[in-house]
Amino acid sequence: MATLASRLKFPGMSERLTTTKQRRENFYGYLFLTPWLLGFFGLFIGPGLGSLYFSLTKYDVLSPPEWIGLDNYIKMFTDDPLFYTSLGRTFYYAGLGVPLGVIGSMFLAILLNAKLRGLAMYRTLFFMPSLVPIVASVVLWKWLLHADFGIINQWLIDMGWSDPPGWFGDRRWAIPSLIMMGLWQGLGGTRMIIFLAGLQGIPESLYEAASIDGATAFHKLRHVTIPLLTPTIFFNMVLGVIGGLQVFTAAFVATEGGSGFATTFYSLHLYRHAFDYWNMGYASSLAWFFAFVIVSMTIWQLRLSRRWVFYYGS
Amino acid sequence: MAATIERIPSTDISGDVYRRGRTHIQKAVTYILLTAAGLMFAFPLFWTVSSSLQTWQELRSYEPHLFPSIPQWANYAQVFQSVPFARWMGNSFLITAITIPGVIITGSLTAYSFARFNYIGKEFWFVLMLGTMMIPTQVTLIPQYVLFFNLKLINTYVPLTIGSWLGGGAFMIFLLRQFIMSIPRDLDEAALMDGASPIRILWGVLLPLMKPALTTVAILQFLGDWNEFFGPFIYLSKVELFTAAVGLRFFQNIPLESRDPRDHLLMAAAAIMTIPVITLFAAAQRYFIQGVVLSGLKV
Amino acid sequence: MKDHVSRRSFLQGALAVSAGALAACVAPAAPAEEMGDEGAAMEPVHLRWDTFRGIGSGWNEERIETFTEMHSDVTIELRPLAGSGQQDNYAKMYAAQAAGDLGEIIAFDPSHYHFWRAINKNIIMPIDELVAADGTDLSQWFEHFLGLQYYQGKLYGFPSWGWAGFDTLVTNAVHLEEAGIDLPNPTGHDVSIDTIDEWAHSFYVEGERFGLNISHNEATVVVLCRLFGSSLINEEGTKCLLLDDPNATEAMRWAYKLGVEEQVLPAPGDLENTGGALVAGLLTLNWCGSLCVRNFKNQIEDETVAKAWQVLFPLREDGRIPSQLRGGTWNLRTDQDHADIGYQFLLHIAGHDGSLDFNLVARNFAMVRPDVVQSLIDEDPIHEWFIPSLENGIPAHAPANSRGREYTSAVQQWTDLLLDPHQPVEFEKGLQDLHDNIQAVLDEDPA
Repeated sequence: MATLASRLKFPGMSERLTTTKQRRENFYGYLFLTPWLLGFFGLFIGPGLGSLYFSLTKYDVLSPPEWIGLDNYIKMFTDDPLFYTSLGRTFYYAGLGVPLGVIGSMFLAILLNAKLRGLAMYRTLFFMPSLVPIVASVVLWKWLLHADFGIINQWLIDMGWSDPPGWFGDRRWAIPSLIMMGLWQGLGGTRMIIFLAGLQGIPESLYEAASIDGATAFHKLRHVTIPLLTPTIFFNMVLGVIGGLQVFTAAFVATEGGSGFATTFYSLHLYRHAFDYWNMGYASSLAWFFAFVIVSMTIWQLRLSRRWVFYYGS
Repeated sequence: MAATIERIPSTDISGDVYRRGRTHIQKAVTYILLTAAGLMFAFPLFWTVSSSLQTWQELRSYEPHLFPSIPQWANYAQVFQSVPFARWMGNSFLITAITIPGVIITGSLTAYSFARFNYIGKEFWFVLMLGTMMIPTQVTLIPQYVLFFNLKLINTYVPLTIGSWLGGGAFMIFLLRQFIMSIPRDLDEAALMDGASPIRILWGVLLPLMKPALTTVAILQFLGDWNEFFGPFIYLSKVELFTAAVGLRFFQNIPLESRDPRDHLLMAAAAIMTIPVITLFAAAQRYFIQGVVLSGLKV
Repeated sequence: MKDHVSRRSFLQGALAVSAGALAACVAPAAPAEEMGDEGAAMEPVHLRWDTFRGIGSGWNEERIETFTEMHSDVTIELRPLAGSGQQDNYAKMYAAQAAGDLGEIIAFDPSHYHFWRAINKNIIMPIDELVAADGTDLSQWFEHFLGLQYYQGKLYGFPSWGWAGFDTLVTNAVHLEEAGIDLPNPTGHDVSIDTIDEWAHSFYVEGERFGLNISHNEATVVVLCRLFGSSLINEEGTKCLLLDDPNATEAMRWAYKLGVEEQVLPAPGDLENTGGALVAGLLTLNWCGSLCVRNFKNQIEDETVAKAWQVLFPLREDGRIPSQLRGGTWNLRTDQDHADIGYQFLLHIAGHDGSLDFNLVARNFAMVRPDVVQSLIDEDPIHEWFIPSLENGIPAHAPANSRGREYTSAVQQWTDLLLDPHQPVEFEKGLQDLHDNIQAVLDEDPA
C-alpha cells in the first residue's frame, strides 16, 4: 500500500533522512497526526466497517441485527424500482447543475477580476446568497416560485406566458427549480473565490505576449485565461460532482421527495429507508453502493482530466 | 465591506485585458453584466426582507406585493415570542464556539504534520485523508448514529462537534497544509536552531503567519455549522437543544389544524438568521479571500 | 444462533474501537447542556409528555397546570416534538425509545398508522387493568373512536382527536349561486357523482378557476374508492383492491377521466395551496375533510368572493357514508413506575374540558365525545354538519404489517404518477403500477 501511495507524488514529500533525525520526524509526525488518526478510525473506518456489516443484515435499531447475507444487495438491483429512479434523478441533478454552477462561477470570477471601481461591493453581493441558511433559501425560493402566489410566475404571466410552470410541485420542473435555487446560492460562493485565486495565478507575461500579437479580449479569454484555469475548473468539478451527487437538504426541505418521486434523489431514498422505515440494513447497502458510484465518478474524472486539464509549466 | 482584491499581493494579471486596449464599451459591458448579475443575486434577498414585513394574507394574495402595504415590524417580535428562537440562535453560536477552536487546533496540528515532517507512511495517510472526501456521509451516518446512540450521546452536541476536534475534515486540513507549505522553511529552521520545540515552532512561528488561512477555516466552519441542517435534525430531538437552522422549520410546518399560516414569520426568522452571517462575512472577507488565494488552493 | 453472537461481538468490537477514540475527545467537546432530568431529588412523580399536538397554542400548558393543581406531588414536563411534518416525529420517538429517553405520555397515532407498530414493538401499554381499577365509564366517548384504540382485544387509550377523513366537498357557495344552482342541503348526501362530474366541468374556467380538486394523498384515495362502493385495501390490511374490485377500478378511472383525459382537475403543481385558492375564489369544490369547512369559514375575508358551504358525497349502496374515520390519542409508555398517575392524566386531557379546549384552544378537530359535540354546537352551529359522518362513517383500514409510512407514501406518489396530465400514462399501466406498489408494501415483513 505504501508503495502504491508513494508513487503518487505530492510536493513537500521528500527522501528519507538519517536514523536519528528520522526517529524524531516519525515521533513528531505521528504525534501531531494523532487527533486526525483517532477521528479517522473512530468516525470513519469504524463506522464504515459497521455499515458494511449492517448492509448484510436486517436491522431496525430496536432489535438486534439479523444476518441475511447479500439479500439487501440483491433486492437493491432486482426489487426496488426507486433505486434506479432515484439514481437517475441524482445524475440528472448533478449532470446539469454542476457544470452550470462551475461555468457560472468562473464567469463571475472573470468579471470580478477586471480592474474596475466598486468591485468589492459586487463581490460581497455575489457572495451573500451563499451565506443564507439552506432552509431559509428553500423557503424563499418556494415563495418566489410558488405556483399560485409566486412573483416569478406573476412576471411570466405579465410577459404573456399564460400557463407558467408549477415549479417545485410540478414533476417536469421540480429538478430545474432546485438547480436554479442551487445556482443562486452557489455561483458566488466559495467556488467563485477559488476561481478568483486561480485567476491571480495566471502569469502576466502571457497576456502581454498575446497583446503584442494583437489578440482581442475575447481571444485572451479563449486562449489564455480559460486554458490556464483548467486545473481550477477540474478541482471545482471534482468537488462539485461529489457534492452534487449527495444532494439532500434542499430536496428534503423543499419538496420532501416531490410529486411522483420527482425529487426523490438517491440520498433521500436512503434517508427514507434509514430513518422513516427503519430499514437500517437496506439503507446501509444503498450507502455502500453509493460510495462505489462516487469513487468511480471521481476516478473517471481523473482519467478524463488528462485530456483537457492544462498545467502551465509542465 | 471595503476590502478589495486589489489589496491582495498578486500580479493582477487578467486585469490587463482592460488595461490595454481598454475601451469604454468593454468597461460598460462589464458593468452591465455585473449589475445584471448583482440584481439577480440581490432580488431574493430583498424579497426575504420585504416578505418578512408583510402579513400572511398579503404574502398569500394572488397578486404578490413587492412592498408591504404597512411594514409589520411586529413579525420580528413574534418570531421570538412564538418559539424559543433566541435560545436556538444561542445554541447555534455555542456549537460554533466549540467547533471553531477545535478545527483551528487539531486541523493545524494535522496540517503541520503533513506539511513539515517526513515520517514513514505519510504519503499513505495523506492519500487516505484525501480519499475520505469521496466517501458519501451516508456510508458512516447510520453506524455513527448507532454508535452515538449506544454511548447515550443523542440529544447532546457531541455528535455535532466531535469531528472538529479530530482534525476537522479533509478539506480544512488540505487548505491549511497548502498554506503552511507556502511559508518558507527557513523560518522554522531558524527557530529550530534557537532550540525551539516543534510545538513551539507551530505556536510561535507558523500560527501567527497563518492568520488568513485560519480565518478562512474559521469562517467556513462557522458557515457550515450555522447552516448545518442534517446533523442537528438527526441527533437532536429536544426543542431546547435545537439550532436555529433546524428550528426554522417550525414555521414551515403549517399544521393540518386550523392555525393561521406562519410564512411571514418564517421569512422574518430567516432574515434574523442571515444577519449574523452577513455581518461576519463583511467583517472578515478580506482575510477570507486572502486565505483562499494564498493557500494555493488554485492547485 | 452461534454465529449470530459472534457477529454481534464483531460489531461491538468495531464500536468499541470507535468508542475509545471518542472517549479520548469527549471532554473538550462536551456540550454545555446537561441532559437527563430524572433523579431522586425531584418530586416524587415526574412525567414527561412528548407530543407534537397542540404545541404553541397554550393548551398543553393549561392541561398540565390544571392537573398539577389537583396533584401537588406530580410534575409534568412538556417536551414538544418539532418535526417539519407530523410524520417526522415518529422517527424521533422510535429513536428516543431505543435510547431509553421516550416520555411517559406519548402518541402513536392510528391515523398515521404508527399505533400498531408501536404496540408490536412493545412501546405502548394496554390500559384495561387501569380502566377496571378506576371504574372509568367508557361510554363518554363515541364508540367508533374508542374502537380505534383497541388492538387484539386490548384498549390502549381514550380518543382525543378524531374526524371522518376526507368525506366532504368544501364548497364555495358564491359560485353555485352565480350559476343559479340551489345550495344543496349540507348534510343531505343528495348530490350524485354525475352532478359532481358535471360541476367539475361547468365551474372550470381555463386559466382562471378549477371546478373540483382531488388530492392524491391516501386519505383522499381511500374515500374515492369508498365513494364507488369499494375501498383501497381490504379490512385486514393485506390486499390492495384496486385491480380486484371493479368498483375500486371504476373510482380511479373516474378520477383519471377528469384529470388526464378531460384535464379539468388541477395537476400536481397547479394549485399549491388549495385552501388559499378557495378563499380567493379560484376553486369551487375542494375534496377535503369536514374540518376544512370550519377552517375555510374562518379564513374568508370577502363574502362576495367566497362563502363556505359543504357538499357531502352520496350514500353508498350499503347505506354508509363514504368516509374514513380516523383518530388517535395519547398513550402510556410501557415500563413506567407511575402508570396510575399517567392514567389519571390521560383522563384529564381526554375528558370533557380537556377535549373541548383541544378543539377551541388548540384548534384541533376532536369531536370524540357527545358532550363536547354539544358544547361545540352551542359555540357554532356549523359543527352540526359533521355529526352524520361521525355517526355513520367507515373506519380506516390499516396495513396489517404496520408499514403505514411506506403505505401512505406509495399511495400518494403512484397516484401522482397515474393522474398527472403533463406526463400521462395509459390508465391500465398506471393503475397496475399503483396497485403493484401498494401490494408490495402490504407484502413486506411486519415492521
